[in-house]
Amino acid sequence: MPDMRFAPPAPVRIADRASGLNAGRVRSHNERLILSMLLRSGELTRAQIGERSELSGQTVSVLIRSLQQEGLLSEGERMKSRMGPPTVPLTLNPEGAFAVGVDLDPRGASVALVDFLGRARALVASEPDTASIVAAVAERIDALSAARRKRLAGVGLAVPEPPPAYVDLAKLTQMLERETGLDVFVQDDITAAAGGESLYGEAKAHDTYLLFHIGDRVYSMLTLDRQTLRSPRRRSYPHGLLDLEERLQLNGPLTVESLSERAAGDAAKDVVADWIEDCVRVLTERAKSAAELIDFTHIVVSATLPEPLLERICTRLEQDLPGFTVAASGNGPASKAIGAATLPFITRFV
Amino acid sequence: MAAELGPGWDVIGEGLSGRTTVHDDPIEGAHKNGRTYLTPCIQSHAPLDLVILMLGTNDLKRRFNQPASEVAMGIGTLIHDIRDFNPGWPGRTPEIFVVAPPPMKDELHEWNSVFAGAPSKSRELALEFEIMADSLEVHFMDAGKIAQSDPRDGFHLGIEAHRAIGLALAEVISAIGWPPLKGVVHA
Repeated sequence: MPDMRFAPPAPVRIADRASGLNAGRVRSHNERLILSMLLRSGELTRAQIGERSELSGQTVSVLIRSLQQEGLLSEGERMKSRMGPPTVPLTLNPEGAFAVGVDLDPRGASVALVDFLGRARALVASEPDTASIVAAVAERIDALSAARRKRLAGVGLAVPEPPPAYVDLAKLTQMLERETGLDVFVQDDITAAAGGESLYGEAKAHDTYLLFHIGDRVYSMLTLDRQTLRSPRRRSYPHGLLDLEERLQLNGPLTVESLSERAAGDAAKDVVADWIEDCVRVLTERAKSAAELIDFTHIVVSATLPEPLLERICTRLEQDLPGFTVAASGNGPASKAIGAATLPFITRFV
Repeated sequence: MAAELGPGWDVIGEGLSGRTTVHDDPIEGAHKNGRTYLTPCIQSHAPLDLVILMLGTNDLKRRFNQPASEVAMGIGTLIHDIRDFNPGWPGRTPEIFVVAPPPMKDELHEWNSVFAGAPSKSRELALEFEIMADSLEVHFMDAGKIAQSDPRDGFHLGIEAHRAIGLALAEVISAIGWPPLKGVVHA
């Protein structure tokens, strides 16, 4: 056996760095750890990364160099220190990776193009059929520059249960893979929304929190120690948007815009206020029963609703739940589409 | 570098003109061999927090007939030696920092024949050193991104280049998460 110390080094990290993302290589646990820390904190110095990860200075140095060369990190503004040379904090490069998220809401499909910091660069509604959705995704991707296209991490689908009748899921996945050449990740929509909230939204700073999603009905999802708890059977509760539409005697599904107009009218004011009370009652009950089993104090509410309405729901809920903080989704009305786009990020980077 | 790092650091310069990574120089002398000198050197300065290695250009002399990858192997050998002798504080191996020297100029004046073929190899050193640094998990910096060789002889560093590299090193060194006490050798 030769002395392996003197065998030529294996150029694992550098040789596959030519351009774009490293697809072939399995990302090490420590690299994921550093990316996760930067996602949560926004900006960290090398010393802080070393301290918090308990990795040695040399290990941190090697990992950061490799992530930098892959284009996933950028350097923040140089900070003068009280003594010694200035330090340069590190951040995630917003242009480091992109992903497409598709929300297959029963009430209509939407497509989001999301950057590495979780910002939706584009958000479009799609006609609710398989071919149109594929076309909408392809259009988003074609609109990207060639350099950015190389940095696509994949396509995520947020699928309700049961899947909507307007789409053939197996066919959609297959067509998307063929059309885009990217990996397609499928997840149940509320879990995806919770993932997006943990990574980029209002729950970034919370390991344990309860997410409510007000869709056609009301859904809840508990995240415990950063693990989103998926139950095999989906539970839903009344007084979601279907109920609101019925009360407002709308002919079609409401949109954020149509509801903004309607809710502003005097005739609808009381109807909306009553609906909010009923909806908040359901949320309060669910939160209290969950709190009997698990210790949490943070609640996030996402909904396809105009911002002032969602804020009213949050404020009311906080009144009814002393000791809890309630925040509207950090990802806005597109929380499920952004959640879908985080699926490739979660699988590949964190 | 010492000025920039501040009074908490003791920086020990250990530079030698003509030093190679692991070769006795048949012309300039056996004392140019970095490997034989490194062990007594780091032991005499122990305990150390950090060892910076910035070598490689002299290995490219025609008489040694080495490709850039082999020079990187020489650096790798020095890293193993440092770890074997472990001149750190009790229970701690010093951090090791490999610095790739700036590439040589193509015009080396009276040194052209001594370094025949070396300038193009010198441009490969940074990549080969980085691969070595990555695989052995040590710090790395490409000084070629900070400064250039002095055109007067084509391969030494001028005052400005020394200064720039010193400042850049200080910045990287201070970014390493350090426990309280420090002391450095620069070979």
